[in-house]
Amino acid sequence: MLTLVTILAAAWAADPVDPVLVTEVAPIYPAGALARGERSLVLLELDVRADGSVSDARVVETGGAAFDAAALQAALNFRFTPALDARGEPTVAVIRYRTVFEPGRQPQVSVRGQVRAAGTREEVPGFEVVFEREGQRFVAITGPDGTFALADLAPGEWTVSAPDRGWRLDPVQVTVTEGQLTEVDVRPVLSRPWDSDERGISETVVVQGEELAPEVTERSVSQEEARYLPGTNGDIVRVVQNLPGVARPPLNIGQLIIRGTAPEDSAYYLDGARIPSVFHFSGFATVLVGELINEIGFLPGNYGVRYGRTLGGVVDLKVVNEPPTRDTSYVSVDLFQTTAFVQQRFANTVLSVSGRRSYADTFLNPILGATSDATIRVPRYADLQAHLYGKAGRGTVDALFLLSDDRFSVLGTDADDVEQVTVGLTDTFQKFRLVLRAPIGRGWTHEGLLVAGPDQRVFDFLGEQSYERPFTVGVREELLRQPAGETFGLRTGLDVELGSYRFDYAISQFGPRENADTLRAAPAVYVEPTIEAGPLRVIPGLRADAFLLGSGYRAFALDPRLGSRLELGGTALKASAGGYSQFPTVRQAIEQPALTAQRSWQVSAGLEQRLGSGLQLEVTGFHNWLDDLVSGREDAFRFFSGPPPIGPQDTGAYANDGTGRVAGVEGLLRYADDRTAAWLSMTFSRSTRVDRPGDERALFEYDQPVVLTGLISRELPRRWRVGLRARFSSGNPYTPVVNRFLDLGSQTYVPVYGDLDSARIPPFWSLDTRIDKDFVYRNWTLSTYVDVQNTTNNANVEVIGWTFDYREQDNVTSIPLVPVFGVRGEW
Amino acid sequence: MVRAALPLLVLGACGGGVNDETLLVGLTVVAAVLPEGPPAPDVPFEVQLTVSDPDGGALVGAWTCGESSCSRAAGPLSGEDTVAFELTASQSGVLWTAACVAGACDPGDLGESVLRDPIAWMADQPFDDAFLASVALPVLESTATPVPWNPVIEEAPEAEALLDATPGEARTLSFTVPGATTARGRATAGGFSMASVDVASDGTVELEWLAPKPAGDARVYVVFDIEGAGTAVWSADAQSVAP
Repeated sequence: MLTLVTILAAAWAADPVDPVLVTEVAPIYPAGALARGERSLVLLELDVRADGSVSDARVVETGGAAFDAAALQAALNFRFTPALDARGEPTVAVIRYRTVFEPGRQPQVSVRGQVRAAGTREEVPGFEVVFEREGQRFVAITGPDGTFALADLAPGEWTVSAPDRGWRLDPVQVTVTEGQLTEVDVRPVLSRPWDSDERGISETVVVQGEELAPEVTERSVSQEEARYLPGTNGDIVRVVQNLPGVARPPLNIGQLIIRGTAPEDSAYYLDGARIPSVFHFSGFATVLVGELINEIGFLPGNYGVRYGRTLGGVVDLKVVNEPPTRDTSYVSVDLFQTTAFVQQRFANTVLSVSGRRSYADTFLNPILGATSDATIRVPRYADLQAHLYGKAGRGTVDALFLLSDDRFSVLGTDADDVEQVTVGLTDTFQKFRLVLRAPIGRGWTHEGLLVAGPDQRVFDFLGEQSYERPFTVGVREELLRQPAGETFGLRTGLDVELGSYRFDYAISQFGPRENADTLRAAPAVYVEPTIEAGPLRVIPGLRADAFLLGSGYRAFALDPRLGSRLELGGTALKASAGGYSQFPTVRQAIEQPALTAQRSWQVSAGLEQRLGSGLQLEVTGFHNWLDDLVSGREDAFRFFSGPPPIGPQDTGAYANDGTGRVAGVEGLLRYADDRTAAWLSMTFSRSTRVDRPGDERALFEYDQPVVLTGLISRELPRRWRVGLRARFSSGNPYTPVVNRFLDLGSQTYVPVYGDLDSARIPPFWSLDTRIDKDFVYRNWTLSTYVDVQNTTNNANVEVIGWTFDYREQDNVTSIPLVPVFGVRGEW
Repeated sequence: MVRAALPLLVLGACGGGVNDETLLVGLTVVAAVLPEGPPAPDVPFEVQLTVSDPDGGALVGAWTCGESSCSRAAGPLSGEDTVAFELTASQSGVLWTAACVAGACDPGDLGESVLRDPIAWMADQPFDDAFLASVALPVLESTATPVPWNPVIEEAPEAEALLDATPGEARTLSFTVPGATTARGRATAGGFSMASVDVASDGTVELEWLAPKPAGDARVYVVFDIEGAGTAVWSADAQSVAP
């Protein structure tokens, strides 16, 4: 190997005496490159101290990552004669040094090793490993894979350490023996974990709008923010509940009430394929573990044509499809549940298996059973996922199996003292999802999606049972051409849901029996061109939907949509308008074949503004006009389609008689720096409805005019983190009870209601806190946290209730102060 | 959506206050009995109302409406807790009964629109001034009336059984009422441990009565029902005395 030295004198020395290289350390040829006979050249810039040692080195002209690391490492071990200033005093100097790599004689490698972060075991590139002993100091720089080597190190004891540059490494002793290779495994601890650049890890879960469509609302939250957010127990999907446009659900259960609409009017997707829900019914957890989620698409309204059949918002969980940098496993245990996750790479394929089970029932049910005749079987949930993905030809294959299982029951004894289910609820679904993505040339990408599996919802009540058992096959075929610097792009696709739908409502106390077993099909086609003109992007779209039942029911919908976005430096202006349709339920369509799709016309306009370092403001105004809403039959069994209304019930036949309006302003003020995440989420809205022509306008059941959420999460030294969340929201409207009468036959009091939705539950406010502490060990990390919801123990009214004779209110208040402890071991 | 209903389900499952239901607070219609069973069309029939009136002087009324007209009767309780009215009905419907605190309202003055929609009338009444109750009124064309329509109380505690109790004392009341399906205990003070008790097939049933605490007087009612048919009422004075 030939080494060519070029020394360029530092410019500021008025009468300089240049440093002269006196100790040159030969760089170690990257092993693979040497075998392949590769040559390279690296130009470095070196900072030389007044004592002639090298304090820093930078690559000016790269020769490839492996060669750069080898050249830097060698240069940091050089010794020079000191540079002299005009007075002849030693001074610092900056010089340039060129290293030429040519196959030839190699220095004898004395020490070889790898630097991997303690806890995560991730390889750390660019890390300085210092070997010192009396009067001698050598530095090794890790390459892209975290490995390093030092050559010609004299035999004897050496102290291995690292400079304090975001990492902490307790010094260790290493013995170098002449003629032998010494292996060193270095496990530094990241001392500033908030600095993701130094950690070399970039985990991000994005909560945002769809990639191509310019939804007016686009919000992103990092996985760090989501994981440490107070009040979520670390569940990253529940972060959506803190965003503007989302009202607070009663009892903080896992529902999403988006822009005033009922939870059942919002849709949940897994990579564009609809699934029954994203939350277990207790609301504590998402139906799949966070590590499987790459991105959360949260679209409160005015979304593109890819989504349809719904009037409300959309939550689309995008499953991870990029190979991880390392194999990961963890077990997490908290007060409510245990989660396990194992991920392993095999060549171009990644396999992960994960699952979760709540277990409050395991220890509470025996206790409850021992103290009461009526045993409440504590709700329990479980889920299981198996995910396999990797490259296939020019594209990718991504397969996921998802199982979700929720159960709840109250047991009692019959006349013969035999235990039976008094009230029971089972909600399960299994989905197999397959995604094929591949470029097909000329900038086009094809995505094929298949989702298939059964759902089951069963409700037991005093020996009788109702159920819904749909089986759905969802197919999406989509072609996408991103504009990518050109004027036009296009998305076009076919979105089909096929399957069967069986239901049987057979609980006599809730009304006459109803049942059906029918085939159903919901095909849709959509097209969405993209037009880019400088800073302006315009996306018109058109979606056509049909809904067909085996009973002969037919309904159709055509939804034109238009979105636009204008980028002006640090400001983005956005505006959208469009039509949205939601078909009647199977039960409604069978009973009243004349029903048509419910309609919503939505307009929104927004502004995104960067306000300075780390501070960003987003404001969106929206107005939705709802028409052809299905009214009626509120007296009939509706357990599966929503809670019965509190107040007078519309017992008329189903009809598209309802109309509504929802208008509001949403704002999000965010601040983020390397240690702090903070935001203030604001929603001001009003949602009103008229159920039947001639009725007076009333509030929607979930109308909350003011919803404010402020939170801050801050990283502290020594791997501590604290978080605080404050929430305020208006209470939901309700219809007051002004009197009662007694039904002597059943001996039950029947409420006499006042004006519809003329009263409102008192406002809700709560303070939640969270403290995290991580302990990093050589091969694994132990994370601990305590998440305290309702820290001030505020007794917020969640659900209005009454005593048996309606003489007094007997309300359900929020859960008291509950500290949730959790630990997580990751390796 | 299933998830939305879960909290309500839990609340319903956890609902308590069983003892509270047995305590009569304020003016209350306890029972409406058709002594002769279901009437025939347009044939006068008697209805006996049992009303708990702690303040005294209440005005009571009963009515039922057919397609063309309403039949009603009203009057004061006159110091008793039962009152009987005679009505006629042309078809099956609802028998409404109303009781008003003296001076607050008068069931005898209600217009026909109120008689036909008394629930709307109740929306305008102060909670403690009026009490409205309803019961199904079958009008039978044939004479195939279930026999007996009303349960018959064959064995009951002595009238003095509930006197001289200590405050909070529990006493078991034993009845034999063949044909009855449920028994409901109600009291103006103290109460019963369960709101409703199933009657055994041999007609026997036991209710646990809890004496007023603190010491005081009470009026106690036990109402027996035959599912889908009539009603019988047993009542007694009760008293708890501090030891």
